[in-house]
Amino acid sequence: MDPSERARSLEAAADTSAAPRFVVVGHPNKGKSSIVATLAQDASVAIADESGTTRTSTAYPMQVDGRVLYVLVDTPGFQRPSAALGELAARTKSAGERPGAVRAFIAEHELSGRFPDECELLRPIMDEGGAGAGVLYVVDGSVPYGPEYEPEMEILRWSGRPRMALINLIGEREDHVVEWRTALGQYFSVVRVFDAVTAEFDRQLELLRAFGQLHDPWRAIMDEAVRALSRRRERQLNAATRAIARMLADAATHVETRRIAFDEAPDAAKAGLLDRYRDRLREIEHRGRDAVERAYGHPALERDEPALALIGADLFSAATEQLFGLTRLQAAQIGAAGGAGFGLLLDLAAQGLSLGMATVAGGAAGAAAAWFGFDRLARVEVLDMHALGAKEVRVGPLDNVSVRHAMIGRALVHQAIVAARTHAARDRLSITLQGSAGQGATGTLSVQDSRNLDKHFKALARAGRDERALADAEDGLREALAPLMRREHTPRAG
Amino acid sequence: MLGALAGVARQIEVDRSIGVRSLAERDRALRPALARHQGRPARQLDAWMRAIDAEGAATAEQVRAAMWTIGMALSVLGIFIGAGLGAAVFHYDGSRPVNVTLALWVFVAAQGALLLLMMIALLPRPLVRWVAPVAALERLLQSVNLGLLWRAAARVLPAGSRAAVQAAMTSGLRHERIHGEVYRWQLLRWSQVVALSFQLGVTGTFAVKIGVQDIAFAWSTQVESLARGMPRIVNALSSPWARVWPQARPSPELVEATRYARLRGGEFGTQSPPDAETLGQWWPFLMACLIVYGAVPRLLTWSYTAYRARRAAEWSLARLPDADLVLARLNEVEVSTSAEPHGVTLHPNEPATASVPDESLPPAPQAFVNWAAAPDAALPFVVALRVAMGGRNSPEDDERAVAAIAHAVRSGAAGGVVIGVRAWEVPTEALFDAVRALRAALDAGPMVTLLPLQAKGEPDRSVQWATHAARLGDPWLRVLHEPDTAQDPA
Repeated sequence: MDPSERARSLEAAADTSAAPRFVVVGHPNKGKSSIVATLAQDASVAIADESGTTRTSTAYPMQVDGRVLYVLVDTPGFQRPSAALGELAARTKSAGERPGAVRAFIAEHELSGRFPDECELLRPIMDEGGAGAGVLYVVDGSVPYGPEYEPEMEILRWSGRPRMALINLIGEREDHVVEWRTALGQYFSVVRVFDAVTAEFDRQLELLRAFGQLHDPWRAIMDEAVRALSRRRERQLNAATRAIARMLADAATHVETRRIAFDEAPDAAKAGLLDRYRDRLREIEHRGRDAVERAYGHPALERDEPALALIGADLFSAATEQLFGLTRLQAAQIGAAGGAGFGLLLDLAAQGLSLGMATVAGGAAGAAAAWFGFDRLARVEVLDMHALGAKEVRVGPLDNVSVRHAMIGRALVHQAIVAARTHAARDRLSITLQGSAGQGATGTLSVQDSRNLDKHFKALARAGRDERALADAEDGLREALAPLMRREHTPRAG
Repeated sequence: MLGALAGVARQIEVDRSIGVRSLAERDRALRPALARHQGRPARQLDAWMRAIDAEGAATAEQVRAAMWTIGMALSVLGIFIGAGLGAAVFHYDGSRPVNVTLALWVFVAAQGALLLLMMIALLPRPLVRWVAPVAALERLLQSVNLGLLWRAAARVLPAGSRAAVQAAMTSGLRHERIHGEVYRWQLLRWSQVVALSFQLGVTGTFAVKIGVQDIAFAWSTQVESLARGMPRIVNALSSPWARVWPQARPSPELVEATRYARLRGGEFGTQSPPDAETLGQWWPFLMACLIVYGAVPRLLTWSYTAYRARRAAEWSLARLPDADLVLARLNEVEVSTSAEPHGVTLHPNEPATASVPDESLPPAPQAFVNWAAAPDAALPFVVALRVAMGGRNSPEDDERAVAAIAHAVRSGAAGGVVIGVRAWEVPTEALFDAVRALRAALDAGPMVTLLPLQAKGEPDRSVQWATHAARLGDPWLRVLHEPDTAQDPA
């Protein structure tokens, strides 16, 4: 495709006439595309360990209701900076003529084929369209500085555009950041460290605000962009909350049934049905995780489920129980709170004449039910269906407060990991354990949290097949989850 | 609303094959017109579907037409049954009077019992379960084979409507949790259509009969307690209209006079049989009973079930899968940051990776090129000539370096060329331009070795160097590993 034609097609889909461009340039394989993927929240940006993955410039317009606020441009890396600088230097010695020399260089070599990469990355910088261009020069702060970068920085200086240097950390080490800052500070007024793969959302917004500081007229537009992105983040959180509430509601109300002959002993059927019930709960959890990942724009994440820890462990494994489940005592506490609450209503109705006995009795009954029912996964019933000459074995709904607690904890941790994951990350989703050992059966929820959520689960169980009541209970669960979603969730080692 | 439910579901399904950008643009254009429905998701979705006026709207129209047809068919059925039963109960051929007791049992008592069951069925489900007969009826309703009902209903529908309703039902059964209440209330509503039509059929038949015939009415019962209580029963039944229509309240004398026995061809209880005019005075009472205890309650239950069916459909509409996405497009600012990048690929027809051979450097002295300040403190070969290229060098410097190397090799001072590069950096075309320049100066034969020189703790990208070098297709170019002597970076 002809270069000018490609430039037109790049921006044909959206009107970018009033939007600043931020052109991400640098040496090959320094994380330019990773930075673009993270800031554009686009996992489709081609990223690979191989250098030369990006061969053409690609524009990523940030649009709010179709209105382009700014454009991020991913470019191929410098391939022949010394030779290009030599040619530029031969054209002029005057600083005032340097931008013109760069334009002339592009015009000449666009068709000559001698400097295809330099032309590709310089064109969006020097293009007069839109509200101008800013240059984002990306280096890898985890490897040493070298002299081969200086021709690149010099060429960018010749462009005359506002410039910022970003020190990426591909190797996760910061050993060479200081020497990079020293070198970059001589060419760029703004130098920032930014790890494209691990930068949290707030850091990303901070960087975007910094783009606005490159040139005064861009400040307001970048602030508006940051506000829009913050609102979108809020919506993603709400969507994830809804997905988790739906997952928990489905798990809490799921029932498996099987018909057996009237004279058949139900025990074998019960065992098989319990296994199937567990499988369905696992499927429900799996679907819930998919929905959360979609909410955050990670539709095709691969999860490292067999290998590593925590949320990848089986829902019913000992590891999950230890890390997320409740102890029998904790479950009894929750049961006691629920029972006491009911008893309190009776005491209030009796206007205190019962002397609080209903509260005490309710608490004791609730605790006892939770204590002795701790190992039971779900309600199991065998219904006689005389008219049909059969029996129906029914497993469900979920009756184990510890498993419920575990599902919530796992969902919250998973959500937190996904929310923090950048779109530059290409590894499989996994999690590492943090914190100190020996804290016993734990999770990310307090017993108080679990108590609050438990009443909504009870409402779900009561709703049965009444869709309205189910929807109301699910809405209540979602509202109870919302503040928990905003907390930091780091799993503690058992 | 059922049409809207099916239409919106269909439109959402069609939209799944349209790109996200196109959907956003289309719906953004509709926002101003639909803004007035904000806060009422069902109405907004309905208006959205009609504004697009495509497959969804066509489906909605077909479903509406189908529902109308089914409703009409049920009405006709109800009227037919009502008229038939009315004709049977009020049959009068002059041989004996119409039995008021039978009419009251059939059209007041029985209808009242059915109405009571219906009222209980309208209660919230958790309460309904406690009433055994209604719980049984509920289970019966749940076990109703919708497929059978559908096959029966489909006979009266035109082909287009049939397909639309079939698709809607299939979608509904897939999302039973969303649409379960819609089914329930729609079935109840249709039951009231039949019931109301039945009542209208009975009432209409009765009206026609009294309009064209001079009917004699009497009442008859074997049960003495009922007979003794008849005046009180009639009085109680006629209480609602006694003031506004006093003629519709039979007097105790009329009740007394019109008791009838069928023995010996029929005898009245009084000494002298009542005259025709007296025997006809029951009709206002019966007409009022049919209206007040028949048609009016069914009108109310029909209105209520229609209202609940509408509300259920609105509730389901707002909870259709992906309806929240539509509402988000209509009510929320859309933020997009991604693009449709041009396809980018690695070089075609080239090896994905090349390996670094396990060979050692030759013993002969080598001309050494330090490319871009590679760490060359400890080189594992004899250096015949040392030059610097790349990095801060100008193109002219590099040309001079190439000339010096070529001279050293041609004169025999150097057996080959080793280019030391930074192992942690990736190759660039500038280096391979230098390699090509060297090859052009050396001609074929002298080996040029790329030697990625490592630094302590830095990554080793030797494989990438080998892969890129292989692309040059130079048989006298190779990449070798540095022997294990990691150095500090320059």
